[in-house]
Amino acid sequence: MVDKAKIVEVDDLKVRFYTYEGIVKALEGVDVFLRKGETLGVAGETGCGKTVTGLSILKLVPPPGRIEGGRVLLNKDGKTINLLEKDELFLTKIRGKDISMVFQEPKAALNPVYTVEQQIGEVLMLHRKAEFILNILRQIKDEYKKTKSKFRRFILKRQFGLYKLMLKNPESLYLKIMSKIPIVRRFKRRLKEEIRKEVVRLLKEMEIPDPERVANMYPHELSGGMAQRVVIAIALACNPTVLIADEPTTSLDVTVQAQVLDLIRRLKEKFGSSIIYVSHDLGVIAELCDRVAIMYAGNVVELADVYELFKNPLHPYTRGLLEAIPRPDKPLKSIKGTVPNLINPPQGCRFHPRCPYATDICRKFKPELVEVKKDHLVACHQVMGGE
Amino acid sequence: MNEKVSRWEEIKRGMGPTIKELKFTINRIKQSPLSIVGIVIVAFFAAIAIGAPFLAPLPEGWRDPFQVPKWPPGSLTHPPTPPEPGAPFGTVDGYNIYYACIWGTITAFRIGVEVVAGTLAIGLLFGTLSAYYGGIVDEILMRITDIVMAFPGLLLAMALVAVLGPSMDTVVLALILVGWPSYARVIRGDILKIRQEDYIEAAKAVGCSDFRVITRHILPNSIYNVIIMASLDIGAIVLSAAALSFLGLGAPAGYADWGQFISMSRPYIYKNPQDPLGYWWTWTIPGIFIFTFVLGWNLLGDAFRDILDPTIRRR
Repeated sequence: MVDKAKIVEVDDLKVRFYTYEGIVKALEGVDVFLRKGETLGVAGETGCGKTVTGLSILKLVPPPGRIEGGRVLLNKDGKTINLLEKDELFLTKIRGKDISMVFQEPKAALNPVYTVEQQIGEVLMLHRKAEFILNILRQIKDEYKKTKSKFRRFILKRQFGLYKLMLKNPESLYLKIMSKIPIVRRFKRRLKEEIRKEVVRLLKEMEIPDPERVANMYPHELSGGMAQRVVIAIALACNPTVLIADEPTTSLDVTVQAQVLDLIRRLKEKFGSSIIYVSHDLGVIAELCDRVAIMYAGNVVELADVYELFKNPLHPYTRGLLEAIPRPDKPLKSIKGTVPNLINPPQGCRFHPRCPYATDICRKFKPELVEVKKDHLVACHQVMGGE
Repeated sequence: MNEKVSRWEEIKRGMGPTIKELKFTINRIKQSPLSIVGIVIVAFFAAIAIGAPFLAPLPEGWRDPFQVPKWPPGSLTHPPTPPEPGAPFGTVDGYNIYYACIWGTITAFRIGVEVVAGTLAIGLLFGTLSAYYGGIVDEILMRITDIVMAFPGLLLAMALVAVLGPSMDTVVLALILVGWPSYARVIRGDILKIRQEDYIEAAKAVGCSDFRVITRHILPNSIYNVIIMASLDIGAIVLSAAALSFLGLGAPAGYADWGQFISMSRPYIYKNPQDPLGYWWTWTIPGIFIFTFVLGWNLLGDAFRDILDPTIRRR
């Protein structure tokens, strides 16, 4: 099998949160990568660092958190960029365009004071303005050829000039003044219409009934599933190469969840994005993902193909997780103990206090993530010693 | 014809959300009669302010409209004269109270609006920067705020006016310098709350710059409390200015300012044992003006809260 290009690679990522109680070592050397066109599931218990990993890729770890080390490599147009070294200005151009994110609570992720149209329009304006302006310029040219009226021609000429300026120098003072003068500022209508058209198209793509009406709604008027579709529309508005979905279906009920998952799968095929799907629901991950990374207490402990992982789980924690899925014919099992306190994590392998196979070596040394089979990486002394 | 219809439809569709919100707002206002009273009072004063040149025309050859003319014209200081045609609210120290009350409305609006605009601008700047950036920026800006706040407000304003020389402009400046810390505090608290919200994170994840996040996403969600405070303050600041004028630190003698006229009538609050309220018009009439003005703004502030605050709005 040919190794398809890695589009995102997270390398030895370390994130710390500086709280009153102490330093929370949220991520302690996370290694994970995403290939082009695949869906990577990230699973684990609450508080194991799944969401923080997602946010770190965008360099958006909220304070008091800080990224202390490691690299996040993005493959953009054949070039590899380390996002953690770049400044904010560069990152604002990446965020939403090359990498975008879907949040867990769709209703909380929408700004309550703006309509759906305004919120999707904002992303479009930030990243795809040039495309719209080129479109408008073409329209104006066509109209100019058709009209005979001198007055109309004069106006069209002015508009053409203004849009050309907008394309060349969007920060121009002249443009800012012109867009404040009544009547003159009507030239902006074309841009608004273009954006509206695109918003409606996107909403239709998300299988929202009556997109024209929904575009005018405020977030509180939407149902949970509808709101999540809008959030996904925002995330996909600029055709991102990577989509980070942070438990997008957790807060939805089961039928809506199925619809949204279906939608994500279809959109992935259509837009060709690669997806990092964060979830604690292994059932959803089994259904949707190509590969799975299992995280525990700020480390990736196992990384494998989805069939391989479910058929042949190697790490004791993965096995525990799989046994903890409720099934009608078996009694429900849980992993003994709780997730360790990350201010004072256990020495050596972080899982050893809960691991039934732990030995001395596990208590002293941290296992590295090692490829034990083709495309099956695991971080466990016992597995490596056993085979 | 066909094109016209479609264009009209377009406009209607584009305005759809705005009209919907406007209708909702008007409905909310209709539901609370007190806010209508507030609006009526403030509108009434606004009408007086606009119509001042017609309601109280300047005497012939009078240059400064805010300098209150004497009644009868050219009279020297003498005991207050009761209401009569020509001076319907009576006189005090020879000044025409009616004229002072009408033109004083403009002064009241001017002080209220200028001071609130100034305090709001400084408060917003300090509060927003310190809340959004946090850390050392927050520490420095908030300590400055604390220092200003530690002084008793009116005393500091008095000291400033005394140093800068009493005039209307220095009163405005002093009240701005004294008033902004509370705005900074309130806006800081609100932004700290909003900053945690998921949609701010989402806005950043979509590629908004800091400036855009602050102006487009944080402020529209956190400004309501400050706007309400500001509308309540327009009334309160008129009271502070009146207090300064009452202490003789406000406008120059004879300036059309309600506070100053109350101050002027201080000796006439009590006439003599036989007729204790003999000079009632000197202090009641400017007093009623101040009272109603402040009341109007307070009621309007409540109305603003009902209309603007998104957490109350949809209930």
